[in-house]
Amino acid sequence: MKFRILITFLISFLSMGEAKVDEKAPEFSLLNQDNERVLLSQFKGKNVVLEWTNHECPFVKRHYETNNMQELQKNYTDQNVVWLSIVSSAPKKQGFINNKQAKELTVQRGAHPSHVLIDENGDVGRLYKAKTTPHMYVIDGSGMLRYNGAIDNLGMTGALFNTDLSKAKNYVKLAIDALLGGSDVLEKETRPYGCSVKY
Amino acid sequence: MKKILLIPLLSFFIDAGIIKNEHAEISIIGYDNVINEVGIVQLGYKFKFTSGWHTYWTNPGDSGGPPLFSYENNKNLDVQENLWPAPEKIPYPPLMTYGYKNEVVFPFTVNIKDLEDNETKINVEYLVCDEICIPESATLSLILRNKILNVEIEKPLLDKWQERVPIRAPPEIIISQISNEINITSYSLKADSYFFPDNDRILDFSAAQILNGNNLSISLKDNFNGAFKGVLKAGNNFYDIDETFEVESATLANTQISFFTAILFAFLGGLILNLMPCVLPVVALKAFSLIKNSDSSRLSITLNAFSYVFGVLFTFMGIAGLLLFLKSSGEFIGWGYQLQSPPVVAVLSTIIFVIGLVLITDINLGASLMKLENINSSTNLVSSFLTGTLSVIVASPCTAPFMGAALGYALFQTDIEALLIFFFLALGFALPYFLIAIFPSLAKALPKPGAWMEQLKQFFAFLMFGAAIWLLWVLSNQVTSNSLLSVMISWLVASFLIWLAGINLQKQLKTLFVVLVGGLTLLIVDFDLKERESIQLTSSETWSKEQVAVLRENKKPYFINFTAAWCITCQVNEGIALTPRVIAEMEKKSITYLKADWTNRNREILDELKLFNRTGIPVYIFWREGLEYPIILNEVLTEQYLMEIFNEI
Repeated sequence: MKFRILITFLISFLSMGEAKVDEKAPEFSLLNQDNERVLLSQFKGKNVVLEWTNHECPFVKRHYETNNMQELQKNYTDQNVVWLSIVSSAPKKQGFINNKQAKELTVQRGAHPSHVLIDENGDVGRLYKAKTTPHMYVIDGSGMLRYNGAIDNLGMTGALFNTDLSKAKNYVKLAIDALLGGSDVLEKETRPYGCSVKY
Repeated sequence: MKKILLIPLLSFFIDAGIIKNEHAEISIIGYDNVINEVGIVQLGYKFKFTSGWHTYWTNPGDSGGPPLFSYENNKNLDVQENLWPAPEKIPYPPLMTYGYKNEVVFPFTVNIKDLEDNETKINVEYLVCDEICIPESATLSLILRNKILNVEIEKPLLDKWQERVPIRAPPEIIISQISNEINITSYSLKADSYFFPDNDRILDFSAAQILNGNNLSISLKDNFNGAFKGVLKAGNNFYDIDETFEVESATLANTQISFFTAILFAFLGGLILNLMPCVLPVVALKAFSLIKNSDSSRLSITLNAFSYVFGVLFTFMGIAGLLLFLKSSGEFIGWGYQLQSPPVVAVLSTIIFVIGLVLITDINLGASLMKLENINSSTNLVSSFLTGTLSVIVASPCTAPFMGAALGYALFQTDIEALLIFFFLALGFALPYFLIAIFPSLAKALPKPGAWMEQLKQFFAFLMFGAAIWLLWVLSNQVTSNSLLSVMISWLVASFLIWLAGINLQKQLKTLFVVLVGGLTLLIVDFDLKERESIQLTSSETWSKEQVAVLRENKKPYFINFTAAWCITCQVNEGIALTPRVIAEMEKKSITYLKADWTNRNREILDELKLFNRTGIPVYIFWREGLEYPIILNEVLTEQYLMEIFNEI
């Protein structure tokens, strides 16, 4: 199937530089909590979750205070899924952290990300058009973006802060479960909600 | 969060209940607080934020969320839903949000049905933000005591925000769509005019909206679903806009492939098309004629190859034009689905059968399309052109199973994009000859002519017969057996006429025979093909939307097979995966097997496929209790794969 290889190559070439569902997720490279360089492509073959985060944002806080986010991280990193928490807050803006603070925060919150990535100039956030914290992306083993949107269906104000998060319809969970089970992600795009990313 | 409820100082004087939170003060305001008769009273929720802070409109834009109001159910002091005044743009590049800075009043009404003392509570949850966002909440009390409502009297402020509540747009405002752009045309538009979309499926919030004279142009998002709804700011006026556009296209396009991918697919698909069993013989003939004449002048080879290429391009563009014309006249059909039309299948099968006969008998049909010798005469340029046409026509049933996706996509695009995709398909199809046209010396590199060509030609005839049989079988699923008979009689007549052309007979006699036989056939045979009633298979039930709803209601699992006789992949799957063993398993697990047969055109099935973001088949759907959404199974099925799926129950 030489044609297939050729087609795949050409498609990936054509779709470079834009995060679109069911197309190749754009490559990026960032420093993690240990000041090591992390590339998206190094996780080829594994499902990858991107979580845009800002630990001071009330929406993010809600997901961490209820242990919702940590449980998701734990559950899926245990199943060989790579979880990347990305901070795109600019220096001096809300949620900005350096790598040392990133480490502390992970311990303090009992979080289980594979890496916390610092995107202080916001390039990767802009590349993925990350709008809110939290804003979630799921990429499959072949590097295709399979989900882009909210963490769950509790968008907007009231619902998130009054509802038991375990009762929500968690889109990220549905997406990864589908990928792990070898089927198609049904809801590929939803509207992200939360605080704006502090570019 | 501090909630301070001021206690009334005197029993007959009720202070307005102002809630003071960290970043906002909230109260209820009105035009008057004395209530002398029952009826509807205009009020408003007033929010005063810390300087520079804001809350959001009903569509907050890229982040944030609108305030949520909830009320006790109080029949005598019945609070109605609030209105949403038009917001302002609050940009946080690269993001854009919509909201209200410093202050806002959300007008609402209360229906007072009784003048007795009464109280109702209103809960509000809201976000208050500047760079950062804080969720706050408040409980407001609306109290009626001694015919006085506990509201602040703030007439000008309430008026100011009432004026920002959008009203019906005057007919002077014209909204039109040109491909992926919406144009709002009005004399009342000003430099700061802006369209605030109702939801996130209309436009990119941060995209500029450009005013050019009286025309505000707005780029639509890929997943625009046709509902153009929102609020237009035109000068100091705010108008409700609610228009619906036809865009079957955009919603589907988004879920499929990108434009460039489609062009690429079309090009490669066209190239591969040359190898399809129904096309190969025809293009091989063209190649043979090039081989035989490889000694002729470069110019004539170039001209012939170009004629062929033009024939291909012309025919493809003609078909594309026809499809687009049908689309614009409302009869929406997809590519490949032309096989849903029995007359088309009947004519195609006959043409292919005749080509088969010509190949195997090597009869020279006079001035027919098949005359391929003598490359030097100018009539042969016409012949090359017509060979191009013919190869496109015989290729059409093959495009259905192999390129439905790319061409289906094309038809959902704007006309220009669709034509481009078809153009690239044609270009791919004609590429080999195009190369020969440019480099005539390539023709010399082809193998030497010889007897093998004759034998190969005859062998190709069997490919044509195979293709003809397949089409006949497709037809047998579409029309009554009598109509099928008519088609087969026309095969008989065609073969007789070809035999007639070959025998040694006077020209006049031949003509007489042709007229006689042709006339008789037309008289006797009924070519009005009658569509067959669909036959119920024992193991499956016929799919219907209602049936699916009933099954879901009763929590009964189901499996839907979207299929058609002309869909080869579907037939293969049914043969190798939907075996008696699998069907028995379905019965054992009480899975209802529903079959949606798309052999004939069916709007309901097409609509259902679109729900799954598909425009082509095969599509297999499975649902069982516990699944919120049905699963779309793989397009290529195996017995084991289905058994695993069904074993989940």
